[in-house]
Amino acid sequence: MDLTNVTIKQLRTKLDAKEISAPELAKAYFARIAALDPALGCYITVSEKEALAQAEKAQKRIDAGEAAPLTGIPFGIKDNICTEGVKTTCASRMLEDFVPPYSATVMERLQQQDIVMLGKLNMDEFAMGNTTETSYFKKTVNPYNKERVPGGSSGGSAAAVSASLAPVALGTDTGGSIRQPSSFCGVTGMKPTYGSVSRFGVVAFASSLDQVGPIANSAYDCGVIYNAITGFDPQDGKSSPKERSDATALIGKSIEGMTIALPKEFFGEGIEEEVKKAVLAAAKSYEAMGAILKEVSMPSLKYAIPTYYLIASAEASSNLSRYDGIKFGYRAKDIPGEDYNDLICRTRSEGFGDEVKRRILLGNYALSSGYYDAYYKKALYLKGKIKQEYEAIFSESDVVLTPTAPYVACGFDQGIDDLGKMYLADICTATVNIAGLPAISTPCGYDAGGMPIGMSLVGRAFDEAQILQVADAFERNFERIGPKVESGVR
Amino acid sequence: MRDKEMVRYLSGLGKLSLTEQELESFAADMERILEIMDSINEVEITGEVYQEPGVAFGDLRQDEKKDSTPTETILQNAKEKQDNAFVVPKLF
Repeated sequence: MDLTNVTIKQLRTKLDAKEISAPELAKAYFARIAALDPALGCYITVSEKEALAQAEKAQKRIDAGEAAPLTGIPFGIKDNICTEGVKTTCASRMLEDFVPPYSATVMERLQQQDIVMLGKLNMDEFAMGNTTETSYFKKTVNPYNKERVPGGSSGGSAAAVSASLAPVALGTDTGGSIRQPSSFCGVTGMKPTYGSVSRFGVVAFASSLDQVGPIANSAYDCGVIYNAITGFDPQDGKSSPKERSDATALIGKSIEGMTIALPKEFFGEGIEEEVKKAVLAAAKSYEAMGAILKEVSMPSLKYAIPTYYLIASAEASSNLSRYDGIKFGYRAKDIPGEDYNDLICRTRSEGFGDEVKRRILLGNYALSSGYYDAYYKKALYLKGKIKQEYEAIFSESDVVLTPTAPYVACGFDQGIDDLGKMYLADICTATVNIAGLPAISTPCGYDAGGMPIGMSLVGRAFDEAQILQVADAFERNFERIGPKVESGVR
Repeated sequence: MRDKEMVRYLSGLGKLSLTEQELESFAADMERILEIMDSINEVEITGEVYQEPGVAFGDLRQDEKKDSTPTETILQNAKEKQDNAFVVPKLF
């Protein structure tokens, strides 16, 4: 069976028609992973034994005519989502042999539908980064060009879906970590509304910003996955009890009369010309479908990066204080005569990579006496401003359209060697996390070198249905060009 | 002041043990990072500062006995353990 960029719809049809069984489908993906992943580096852990057992269970359900939308569907899971009995490393030496004794709520919800988990996907260490280069274990390459990064921090997830090493994946997004790698790898990825998907069992980076979301080959697939994973969870203190409705309900409906806002600051200096051109061409397509384009302004965008990094790092410095080598995780070798504090400090210094240490230092700086008002408190003030600016835009518009990233995937070491450039790369995505809104990235073009360009649609809180509708409307008329991976990564 | 001594202080807060060379390297990194963060110095706080809404504790469960996580599960990922305890170096 041709697995190239298949959708859930296509797989569901074949599984239900018995053209392929769930175990056969899983084996087909494992054969593909064995052949292609050594060059791509998407997976940290391939869980073949567990997956085949899950596939047998799924097949019984399909045979009984009781398949749910995701029964038997193979998934790749970002390696910061706890999976009981299967190593969960966060791509860090600190958790290199950590086996969770429980599964995240999102995994339990997916297992209620009997998905098949192919394995755990590479990422930036503790989700800190936007190129997947900070992974302790391995490099993931972009399936479109092995000299380019896949983006991050869900780089393994986006690359796996792009290269058809999984039809769908879960990622997490704190400042753009689902949307930006989806943009770089030419696939569709959605960050849901903050509070809509449980964070229980998801290794915390920044608790007020983290969200789990789907990466797939279509907006519709993202909607099907979102429907499965969303819902109130009392184990997540910020989980919203708001009633959820079918996120795919508006797909296929006309977008005529809808107002699409284009904040001018997202199309200014710092955004590559080819990216601007592709996203504005997509805006024109929407206009041809009957949507109304409206230029708006978001003056606080210029402070998005410091606002994001100060809040995220402050929260991370607190969240990462649990890693001390005592209860779980990496533990430095005991030195006779050394005290408890020394052991913890050595454990953390040996267990964490440099970017994680930088964020801990920055977070401590922002929160420390004498600097709290100038940095952290001001970042919270700007968070309020960014939320207000989105509210003002949404009082007169239905969705916001922006580039997902200022440029296409760069070469290795180009991002990470220049910290300033690396941090500023989140400019198009971070305000969405700050405001807690849903957003989806979908491909809208390719640059002269064939690298994918993504556009983002941002919606009101809990309006996943609308952004999926608008993304799907573009996807129907857009011809995707997949990466060439069969004859070796180009 | 974003020098080695500041980084030494911050690394103490973060329980990180850094060599002198690492302190210098991270001080240079912090300088670069703070150049970007410092753009917010041009902003004056003229209104309310955003406050995160509190966690809702309204729906507490009934006070019924439930099973705790088994001790062996709690200990399963610990590197040093003995009987039902985590083993640590002397605190005092």
